[in-house]
Amino acid sequence: MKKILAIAVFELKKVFKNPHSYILMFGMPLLFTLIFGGLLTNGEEVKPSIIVVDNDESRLSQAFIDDVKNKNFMSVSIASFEHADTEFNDSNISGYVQIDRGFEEKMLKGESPVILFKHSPSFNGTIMVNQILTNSVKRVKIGATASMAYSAITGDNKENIHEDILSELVATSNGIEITLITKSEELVTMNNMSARSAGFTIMFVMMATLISTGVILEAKQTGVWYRLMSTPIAKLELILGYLLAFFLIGWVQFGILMLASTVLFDVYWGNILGNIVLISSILLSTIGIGLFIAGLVRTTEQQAVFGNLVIISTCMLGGVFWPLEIVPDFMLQVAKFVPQYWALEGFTELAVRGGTVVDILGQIIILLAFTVLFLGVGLTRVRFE
Amino acid sequence: MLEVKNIKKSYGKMKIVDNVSFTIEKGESFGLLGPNGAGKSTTISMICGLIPYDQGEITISGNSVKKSPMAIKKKIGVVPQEIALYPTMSARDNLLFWGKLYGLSGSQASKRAAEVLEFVGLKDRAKGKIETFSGGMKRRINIGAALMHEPEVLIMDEPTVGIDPQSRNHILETVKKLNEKGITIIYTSHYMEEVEYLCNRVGIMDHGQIIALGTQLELCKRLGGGSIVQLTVENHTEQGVEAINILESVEKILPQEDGMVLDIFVQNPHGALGQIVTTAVNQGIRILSVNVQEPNLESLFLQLTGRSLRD
Repeated sequence: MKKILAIAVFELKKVFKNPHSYILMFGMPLLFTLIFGGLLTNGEEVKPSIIVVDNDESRLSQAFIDDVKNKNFMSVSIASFEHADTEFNDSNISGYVQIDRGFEEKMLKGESPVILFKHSPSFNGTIMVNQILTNSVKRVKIGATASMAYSAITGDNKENIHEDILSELVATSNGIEITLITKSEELVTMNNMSARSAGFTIMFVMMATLISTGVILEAKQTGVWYRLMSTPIAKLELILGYLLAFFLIGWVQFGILMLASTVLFDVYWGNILGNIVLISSILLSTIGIGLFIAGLVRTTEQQAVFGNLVIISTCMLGGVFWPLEIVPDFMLQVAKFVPQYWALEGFTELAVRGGTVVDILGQIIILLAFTVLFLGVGLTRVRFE
Repeated sequence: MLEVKNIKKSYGKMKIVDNVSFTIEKGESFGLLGPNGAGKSTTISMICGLIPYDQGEITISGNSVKKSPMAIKKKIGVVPQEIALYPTMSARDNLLFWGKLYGLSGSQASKRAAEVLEFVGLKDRAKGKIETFSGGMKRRINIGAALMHEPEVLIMDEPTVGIDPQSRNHILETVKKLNEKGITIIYTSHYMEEVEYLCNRVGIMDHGQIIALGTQLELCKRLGGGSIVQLTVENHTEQGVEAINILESVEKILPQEDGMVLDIFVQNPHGALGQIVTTAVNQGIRILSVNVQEPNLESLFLQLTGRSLRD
């Protein structure tokens, strides 16, 4: 055990004594996150901005607007059609919602009112907005139908009952809001900065690990391996020493980057235990890939070229550079064959959906499967002679 | 102390080490001499347990290298041909690391590193990074790393390659001192002078085989006390070489590969010199210089193989 620790501590010291390490390990990922994550943007600006044009101006249309606002997924304001159209044409808003005259009447008759949502072609939150609008219409409609039914049975004034239901509706909406706000805030952060931060952290940890795993090749080139093999250290101790070193180096890098992104970019990472387990799994699979590549090549130069090519291309596939929602279905299926996809899925589960270790078990198992595969092959290719 | 018995090593059909045997006594300084590619490094790698041998046996203090590699590794220190150190780390950090791999505790390694740095004359540069050192200084730390655990046997594979004469002398003195302390030395080199200076006994290797083995005196006696007259010439003909070869005082003549030097083996160089020069001039050979070489390992190797050690 002493020898394993000696190797691990020495390698750790070796990496952090080199000033260039700091640039690659910390400077570059933070810079990339800043650039790709959106320079000078914050959470509020990432929220879709929507204007509601209320042509009905009834209690129910107001209830509908309040309900949409309460969801807190969008920045909602009320304006005239002319103003909304001008703002839309000037690309100041993501889109506008138009409530037609007769909204309340149709609701009370049990008919489906017409709500138009006009959005720019580049807006990629259409599905989310449509879902929110549909849900809110349903909620208001349920309230209206219930008030009429109650009035018919009890003979009470349906207007009063409806008032009560609307206030209950808002109260219920507020009750749900607590959960939704939590989720929406995380969603906003994860949308851009968090996703890029997680992605580039993974990418640069992979790159640093690739360099770390190259020490075995380097040792062979410089004669250090010859000397290592001449010392009374078991092959298993030697390999465990190196694996521990790569793991610790990766953890230090991950830890610092997570801390820095939290402080600098207000990134929320979610459940701590979940993150510990997920990051450990990511590091193991990354080390596996590093050793696998090291086993395929003969020199550190070859490893750097081939390894970086593999890392960058799989990062592109896995959704590190851009959200996978914009890629075709085929590419989405391909993404599932790279560990970065599962790593990002894990982070999304923890940060966006408030998941815990249990919720990311699937991702962890897949990452560990990558580890077993690559580490297994990589270790069999380490030559001790 | 160390016994190498009929070891063989092949890669495919290529025989790298072919039936090599020798023994080394405790406290002895043994030189393994031979040109590049002779099989010296492979032989010592097998002694260190780094390369498995195909046949034969190697034992150190009765322990088989094959059966008890860990016990053997604790007893030996290896100085590889390359600078097997971490260039971005300090001399002290390097020594501490290697000490710990040999099982020293933190305080033991620290104490020993200070002693080793003192011994190799680099105490003042303990905190200096290896990459900032001169070639000679790197070589000294390279030796120091092998001394951290105070080995019984020190195996050195061409430890003076690529360094200036002053550093080379320093290293030779260091090795001499280590041998005087009782450490058994196995020293490989293709520099005849180094082996002559350091080693009690010498094994000369060529094409994977030991072609001569013994003390320097024993080996030189194989030359019959003869010398080599070296003629550096501008030109020569087969007829001219043959005319020199048939002289009574000449035992053998070997033109070197470049054709510029004729190595002429004689028993009495002073008596033969006049005859050789006269014959050469008569045969139209233009002599540029004449050198008489006393019997040494170089001339023995030349006589045995017809090649120079540095070829």
